[in-house]
Amino acid sequence: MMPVLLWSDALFFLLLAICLGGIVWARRSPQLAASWRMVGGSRAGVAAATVLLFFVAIALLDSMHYRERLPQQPGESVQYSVEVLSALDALMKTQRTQTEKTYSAPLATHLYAKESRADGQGRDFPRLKFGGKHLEDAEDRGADVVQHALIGLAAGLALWAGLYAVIRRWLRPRAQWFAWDALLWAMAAMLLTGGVLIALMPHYHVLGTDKVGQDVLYLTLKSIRTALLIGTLTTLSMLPAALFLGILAGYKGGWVDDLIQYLYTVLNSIPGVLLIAASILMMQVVIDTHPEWFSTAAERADARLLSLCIIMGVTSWTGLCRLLRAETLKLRELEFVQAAQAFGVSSWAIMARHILPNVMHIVMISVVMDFSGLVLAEAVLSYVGIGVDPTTISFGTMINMARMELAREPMVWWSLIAAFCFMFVLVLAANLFADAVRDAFDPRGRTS
Amino acid sequence: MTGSAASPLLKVNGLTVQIGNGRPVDQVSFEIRPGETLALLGESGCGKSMTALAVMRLLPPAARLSGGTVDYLSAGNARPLLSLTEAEMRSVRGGGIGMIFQEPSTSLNPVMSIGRQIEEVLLLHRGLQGDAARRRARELLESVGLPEAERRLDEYPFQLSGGMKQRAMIAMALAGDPELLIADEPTTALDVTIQAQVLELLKTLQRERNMGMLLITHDLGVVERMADHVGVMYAGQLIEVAPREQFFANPAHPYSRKLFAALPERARHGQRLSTIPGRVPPLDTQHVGCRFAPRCSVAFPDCSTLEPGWHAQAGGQEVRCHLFDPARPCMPTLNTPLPTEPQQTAPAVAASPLLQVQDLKVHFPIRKGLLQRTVGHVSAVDGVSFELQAGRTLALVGESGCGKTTVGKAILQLIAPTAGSVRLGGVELTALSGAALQPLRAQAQMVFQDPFASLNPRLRIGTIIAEGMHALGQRAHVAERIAELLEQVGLRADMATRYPHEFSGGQRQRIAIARALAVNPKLIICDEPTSALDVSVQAQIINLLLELQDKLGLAYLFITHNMAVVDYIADDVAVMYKGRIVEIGSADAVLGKPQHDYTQSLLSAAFTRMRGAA
Repeated sequence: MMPVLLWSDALFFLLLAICLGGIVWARRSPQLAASWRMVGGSRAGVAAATVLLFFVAIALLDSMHYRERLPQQPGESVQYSVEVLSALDALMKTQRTQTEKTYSAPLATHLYAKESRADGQGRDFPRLKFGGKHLEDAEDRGADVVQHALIGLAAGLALWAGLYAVIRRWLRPRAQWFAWDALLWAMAAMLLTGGVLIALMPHYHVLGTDKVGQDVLYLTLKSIRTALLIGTLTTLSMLPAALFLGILAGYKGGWVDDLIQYLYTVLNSIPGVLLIAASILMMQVVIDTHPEWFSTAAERADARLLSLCIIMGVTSWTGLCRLLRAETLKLRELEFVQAAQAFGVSSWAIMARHILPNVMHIVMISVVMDFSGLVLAEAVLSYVGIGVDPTTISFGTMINMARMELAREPMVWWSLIAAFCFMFVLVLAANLFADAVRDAFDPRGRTS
Repeated sequence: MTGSAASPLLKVNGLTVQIGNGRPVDQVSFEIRPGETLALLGESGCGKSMTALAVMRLLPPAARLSGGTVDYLSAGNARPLLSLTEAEMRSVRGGGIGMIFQEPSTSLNPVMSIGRQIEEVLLLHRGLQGDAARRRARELLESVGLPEAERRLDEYPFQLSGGMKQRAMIAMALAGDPELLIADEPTTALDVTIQAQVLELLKTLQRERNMGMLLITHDLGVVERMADHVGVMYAGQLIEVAPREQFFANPAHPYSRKLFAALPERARHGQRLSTIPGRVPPLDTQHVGCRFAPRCSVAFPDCSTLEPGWHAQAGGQEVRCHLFDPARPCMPTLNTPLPTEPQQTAPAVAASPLLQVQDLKVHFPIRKGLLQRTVGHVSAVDGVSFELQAGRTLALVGESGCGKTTVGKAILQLIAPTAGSVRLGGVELTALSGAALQPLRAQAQMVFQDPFASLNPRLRIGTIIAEGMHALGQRAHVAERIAELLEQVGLRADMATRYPHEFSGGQRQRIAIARALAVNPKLIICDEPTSALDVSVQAQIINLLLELQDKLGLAYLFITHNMAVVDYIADDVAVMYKGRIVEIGSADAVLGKPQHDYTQSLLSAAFTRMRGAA
């Protein structure tokens, strides 16, 4: 086995490290700690964060990539598979490898399309190769599903009870301000759903299969990483430009301000999709003409994903930049800035020490708020064909495929519903979390 | 109480407002009769505004009424305001009871013309529409003394000055023909001369309409001018109620007496102001005993355990203080004069002036068009000259917008002067720039008006104070110096690790002074350093400034609009009007025998209190 570190993995780990570092730093600054305490005290915020953590955990598993060692022939050097797999792929090996011929409904035992029977007597729905194959008689499916689901529920409940005991005994007394009940409710929902899914997974395609027989649950879980990467890396790539230009324009004023304003006004007036499409197509050409840069298909898809993030970032910094400029214009007139000027502190030092920390709440809020918008944007871009690489599994590509499936008779609804539900939960959680963060960090929202 | 035998218009009994566990208004009772003014006096955070809002049932969502009654007695029948429905209450608000707020620029709707806003009230409460409403609106504007009323009807708030806006606001409040007017700090946001006019207007209108008035203010001068009765509030309670003459002749409660003693005025020049230590207790304090006891200089052990009751005095005065309890005969006498500390004589005038400003001009360009061409100039400062000796205080007096703050900033080169010369210690500042200016930055520093905006909320106090030392390359013994500075301004050295939000306004202003002192300046420009502070805290800060002047030989350029402070602190006075100095000279000369018309009107607007109360 050879570990593979894709660029997006590295950035994802870096982001996580920054978040962890941020937590440590926030604990030392009483004001930040107080704001985060407010987030911790908000039920909606805590519940949303809990759900988000599950998504992050799945994305993290999906970001640990490796290449499998091929069976070694005597006398040959070690060979690795060209296929790049992730820890999530390894965990869901059955789902990944046990594919059916084509569509099958969730928890089905038979295919969704009729085929000629092996004995040549007419056409019928054939049994699935994987789903429910342990059943002698397909009629027993209902009872079997309920039995497995109950086992899953029980396991989930047991885990939850353990967690409840730990929180009640040790954690709650230490931090009364934290919304533990919201955490417990969210955990209950996640653990029970997770328990049922995990209990059914070894025996059925829980969310059915797609056109080429791939497990839809597997596809959906793989999409989470793509969505999270796009939601976070895009903002990360736009932050430096937005921060620097916004503060500079606001603080310096004069022709610097004019120049930066003209720049973002011009950029803003070009239709975003057009700009993204042009850039993506150009990147596509570059990637296609340099196959030697990438040793595996995964690396190539990864390069395209990253370039999508950067392009979306470059075209979307204007909003934040505008906000920061306005806030800086206000801060610049405040007396502590003038006091610093009276001491002869240099402009750069004033921007870094006095302005930047005082606009961070805006950055924080807009980063979290933008996240959900970007996840949805990816779906739209992939739908019009300028999103991620076709081989990359994402909500957008799933929805794109669902377009044909919905037109089919009888309709195939499960891919779309699965993608919709997961994306909905992710975006809703992100939005609720963003709301909680905004309430805690926005000084105008304070009642005191 | 007074001779007026009319039945009361508003009867408030045991009014209590609760926010969480705190009681910003606690058992407040008072009465207002037609044609009479009750002034609620107190520092910020004492519950004055909350009382008014509770009467109008306009409390913020977090607050709730938890007790008491408010009876509004109109035309013979009493209406219990606290049990009216919201719909019934609406006819009382603006109809029976009008309200004027502090900030005229935010209490008018900026996108509606003045006429429309008044007509809206007329329609609601008088049923007037169309021409009739417009005619009435014009009459109202005329009655509040707004010139060219007809034209003003179609103007928008931004076209009016602050004083005119407040007049329009009063016209709106009068549109419903209220029997009672609640005025919440109606003149605090206005300039001194405008203040006097607006107060005079309110008084005239009250006389004409026989209105009752509840006046909320922190300004003893306003109370003296307007009130028939005075109610002093402290920490949510009324602690003294008295007719005005009685109150000003003989304030009874130790807090009231301290408020008077903390007033800066000429008569006290050369003495330290008497201060009230500490600050108003926060809202959520659970009070035991007298609320003022921790800050009271004549408190005795019982004060902190027993809550004082009301004790009637001669002349209708009532006090909530144990000292006036007839059942306690052997109380420490209150009639000892309040202690004042003698001040050393001002240092002798130095030979050469520390700061010389000559013909200073600051013009702001007006830019227009796509290429931002300069099409004209606004002269903010138009030829200002003065000198300031080391160790002396020059007060720069004027109304808002007269350019006094711009002068301060131009001296520090925060704004580039258009013309003229600024010489600090003999060195011409306007010719210097960038690094050459750095050494001179250490010699002149600034203390700003708003203690909440002048400290970066994200930095620790120590870092804030050290900023100037770092910027000017004074890196030795920074920690010791910070500790020394904090002690010097009356704070504790261990406060250096805290953040600004943990401090009160007065403490923040001390920190701002420490920051300015950190680089050992010879000149400090104080830009309205006390105007955002309560009277008692203002006295603390002024005392501190004087103390530092004695100790360090600092020169102050004291920019202010508060004549009382000028009178107390200044050696020399320069009066600014529309960008020019119209009168300059020693404080005695300028304030004693003002020559210029403008100075005279400033003084006549501000000085009633001194004559009345001294």
